[in-house]
Amino acid sequence: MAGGNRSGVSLRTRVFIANGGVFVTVGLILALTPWTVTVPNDLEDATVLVSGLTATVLVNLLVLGRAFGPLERLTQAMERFQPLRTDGRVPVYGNEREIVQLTKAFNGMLDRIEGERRDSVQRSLAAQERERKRVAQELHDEVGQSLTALLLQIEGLSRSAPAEMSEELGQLRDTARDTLNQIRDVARRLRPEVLDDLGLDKAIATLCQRLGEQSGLTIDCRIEPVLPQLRPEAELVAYRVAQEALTNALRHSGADRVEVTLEREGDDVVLTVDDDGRGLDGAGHGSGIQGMRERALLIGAELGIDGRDGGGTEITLRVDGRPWTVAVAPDSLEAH
Amino acid sequence: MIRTLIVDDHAAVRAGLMSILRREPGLVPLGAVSSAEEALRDARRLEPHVALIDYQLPDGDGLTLCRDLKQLRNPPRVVVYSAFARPALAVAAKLAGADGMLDKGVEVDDLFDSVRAVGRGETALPPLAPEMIARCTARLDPDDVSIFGMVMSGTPMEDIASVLAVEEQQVEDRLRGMLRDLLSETGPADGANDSRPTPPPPARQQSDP
Repeated sequence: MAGGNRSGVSLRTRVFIANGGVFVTVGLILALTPWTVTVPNDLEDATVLVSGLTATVLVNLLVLGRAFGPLERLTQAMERFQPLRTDGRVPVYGNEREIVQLTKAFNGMLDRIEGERRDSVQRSLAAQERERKRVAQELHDEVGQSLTALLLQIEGLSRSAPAEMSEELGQLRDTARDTLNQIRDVARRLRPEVLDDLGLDKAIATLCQRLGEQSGLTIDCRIEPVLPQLRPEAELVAYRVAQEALTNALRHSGADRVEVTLEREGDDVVLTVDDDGRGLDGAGHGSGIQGMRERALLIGAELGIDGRDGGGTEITLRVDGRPWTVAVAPDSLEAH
Repeated sequence: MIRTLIVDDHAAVRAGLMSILRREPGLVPLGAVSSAEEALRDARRLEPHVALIDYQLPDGDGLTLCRDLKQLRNPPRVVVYSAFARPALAVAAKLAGADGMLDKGVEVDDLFDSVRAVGRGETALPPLAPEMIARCTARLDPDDVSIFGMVMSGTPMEDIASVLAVEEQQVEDRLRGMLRDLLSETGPADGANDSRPTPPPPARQQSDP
């Protein structure tokens, strides 16, 4: 969409030609016709002067209006532009060379900014996942082991201790066991091993069940039995979106029931988390939603957030579920 | 009397296990060691009935140790006793020829029961969900899948070797390779952690002819 047949003439030249044309015309009229302008102005001189100036101004207005119209539309398009959406590019208005170049430069800048942003989001999310994994592993390996040892030692002690101590030792053992379970729960939340080993459907079912038990709310989890297997990155993103959406629903929305569905729609796998809470008019609008958007962008998925005021929130993630080549995955699957 | 060897790199866990096993009638703890190397040495010397081994060891992992123990002249029965909670570990334990697997969070009485059952020649492995086996299969080298399937269905090593017309050692090597594949840390976080940029539209198989 280059600037068409007028693209060779720059905006400056066209304004110059138009203005110059008017001045030359007025000059010629003054030189070649009986109309003149003299110092002691009479009515005729004034008429010539006023109409000449009016013509100049009107022609200027017309030319500049035509030239700058696309610029205004471009400005509006830039103002409407939404970051974190890959489809948002400004269309080329008109065929003025400067405008076309400006639009292209703007779109090019968006490409670079988004590329940079995607890279940095990817880096920071990867760092976050790595860190979570490390913490989860340490909880398991260090704290978990110590608690296991503590439990075993309490068991050993309670088997040889006098009978009057057995109740207290029993309480001690229960506390140690509860703590061990809590630690494991935290580790599991940080790094859902079930996702790697059993897949997204089982991981989301487990998540719903666990959060339902913890919160006492009804989480209605409907998962289509046979779903296409997503790329590991996409599975992790879908899992984190479900986790974040459910956490928001349970913590902030005051919902009574939450509905989670995972289903196939055409080529896509669609995750929906729908609650009947108070909508997005407050706490829900925090960084959690930003995080979901960023993660979705990273795998080219579509995130829809429908926060009906006072009528609940529906979060939808649509991931391309067509078969993916294993060829891209192996080195990304291998650990450090 | 079930003679048991404890292998765990955590000193307090070793002490705790020794103290409870010592008090339990019918079970005799032979000793507790902290590494795979010591475990092999002691197993050769003491010939325990059951080895109770942790998954994480300073010089290797419990499942590789399990394979090594099973090569001994009088191999012990092996119970993997682990805090490492990945579901795939159960599949890997079965593949490694372990006779039992226990989570470190279980009640002590369940631990005794499992050690006794395994000592009697029974197995104490958790049930393996079909989808878990399917996911594990997807992680393997396609050439290994037939061996994997035979091991999962309980075919002895020598039969696998004769079916495939290869040496038993080759099957053993493939088995160890599979264990590495299964327990390598897979997952999206690793996929995203290198600086290799992944373009947002995922790479796909061309479905057009």
